[in-house]
Amino acid sequence: MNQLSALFKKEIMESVRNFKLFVLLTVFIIIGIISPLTALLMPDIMELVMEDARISFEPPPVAALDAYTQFFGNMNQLGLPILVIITGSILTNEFSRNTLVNLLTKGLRRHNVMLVKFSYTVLMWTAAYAAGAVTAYLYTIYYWDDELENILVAFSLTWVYGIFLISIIMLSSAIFRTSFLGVLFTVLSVVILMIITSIYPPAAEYLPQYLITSNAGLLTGEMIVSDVLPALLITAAVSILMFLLSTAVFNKAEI
Amino acid sequence: MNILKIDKLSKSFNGKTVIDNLNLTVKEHTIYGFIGNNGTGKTTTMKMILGLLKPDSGEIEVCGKKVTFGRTDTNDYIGYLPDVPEFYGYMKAEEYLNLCAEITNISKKERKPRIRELLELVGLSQVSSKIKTYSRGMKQRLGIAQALINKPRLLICDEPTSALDPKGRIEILNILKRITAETTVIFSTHILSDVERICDTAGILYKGSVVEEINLHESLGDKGITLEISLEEFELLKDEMEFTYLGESTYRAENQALQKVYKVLQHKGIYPERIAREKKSLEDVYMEVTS
Repeated sequence: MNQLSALFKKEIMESVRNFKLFVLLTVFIIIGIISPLTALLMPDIMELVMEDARISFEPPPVAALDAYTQFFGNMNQLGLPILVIITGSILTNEFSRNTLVNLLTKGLRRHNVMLVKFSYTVLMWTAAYAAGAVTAYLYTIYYWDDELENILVAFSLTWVYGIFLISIIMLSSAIFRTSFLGVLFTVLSVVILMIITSIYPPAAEYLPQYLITSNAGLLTGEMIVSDVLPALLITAAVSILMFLLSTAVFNKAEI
Repeated sequence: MNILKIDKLSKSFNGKTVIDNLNLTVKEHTIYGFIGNNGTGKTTTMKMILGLLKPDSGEIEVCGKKVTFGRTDTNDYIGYLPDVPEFYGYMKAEEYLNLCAEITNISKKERKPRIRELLELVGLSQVSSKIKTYSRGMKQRLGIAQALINKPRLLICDEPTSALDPKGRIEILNILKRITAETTVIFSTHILSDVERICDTAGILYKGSVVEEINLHESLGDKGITLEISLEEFELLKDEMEFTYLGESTYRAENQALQKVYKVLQHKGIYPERIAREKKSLEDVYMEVTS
């Protein structure tokens, strides 16, 4: 227990003093602000563009759904890649700088290293994502009072997908031990999942990728929670499996 | 009592044997110098003792307990100072030692005085800057402090002085010498003068195994007898024994006992300007064994 709390405190200190936590929180809060703002300003922007092109244009009414769709889109294109880049070196830095040697030779259990690294990264992700999501939600309900379905579940899907990415980072870091290969492996895993989806579409609803493409469907009521349940359960199971595998790999690694 | 026992240890990397049937025992409260050229397997051996590398065969016991790769039970008895100790640069020395103390389960009450004591020992008690600003020597001293935090029975130091300036080297050697009342020290190096200065025993690692163990409290034997004689006197002696010319009318009679040299000198009626018994140094023994 002592080892876990000591490592946890060390991770907190590291993320604060190296500004990782600050950068993550800032980026996600900015995404939370710009998403509803973009949705709000989009009709004006489009009208201006069309006016310049001398095309008569009647902008469609903007609703809360547009703000959330914008948020999830920004999350997929900006938030998740930034998560991978910032947390991709959380374990590999320890390998490349040899900083774990002192601690391991003091009796630090290897599985404790993995447990704390994984749980702290998930915690950082949760804090940053929650900050962004809450900002986006508050900003959205300030402008629109639309009733939308399954908001909490829709937000949770991206959160679970983030944990899935973190588990890939843990596994690839334990195997390759360099940040570059670790991040590359994570990106390749995502690309492979996308290829599988395009080659065999029926598989899509069982793959983690399905989570980050179903948020809007849940909000509009086109989809119900049980539609995403298989992908949700599979993603959670694969994440746990990858974490356990990364611990097993690290336990057997020569340092 | 033997604090460390290594039995028939072997390790190879990509088919290249680095450690070959190595046997080694280290007695408690001594300083053991583990010497060998770069790349002879000193670090590999140490990492196997620490359970960080997996031996191909053989057994290691620390304080009577078997070392198992990947597990850290025996590390409770060990402190380790790597050749280039790495720390978290954003921490201060006290914070880093506190992390180490927590990991080694030192109680909250004991932590502060222990950390203060160690910082005093290594001369860092007045330093309040972050570790990233430290010089190499300061990092090495902090390395010793972290290695001693759990009052280890065995301290393993991997080339602790090789990258330091003369002042830094002496500081580290003095610290190691001071702690032997409580701790056994294994200290790898290729700087033989450091071993002669502080070690009780030296083991020469060559081609993967310890080929010679030397008790440094005993004489290493005579190298020969040095004579300062004229060229004419040398001509009279050269058929009697093998000589090496050392310069300035000085010759060394190789591997000769003093009595025999005296006898020959008396017989030939030669009275040298100077005659001296030259003792073997660790370097001489090292060169003999490894050449």
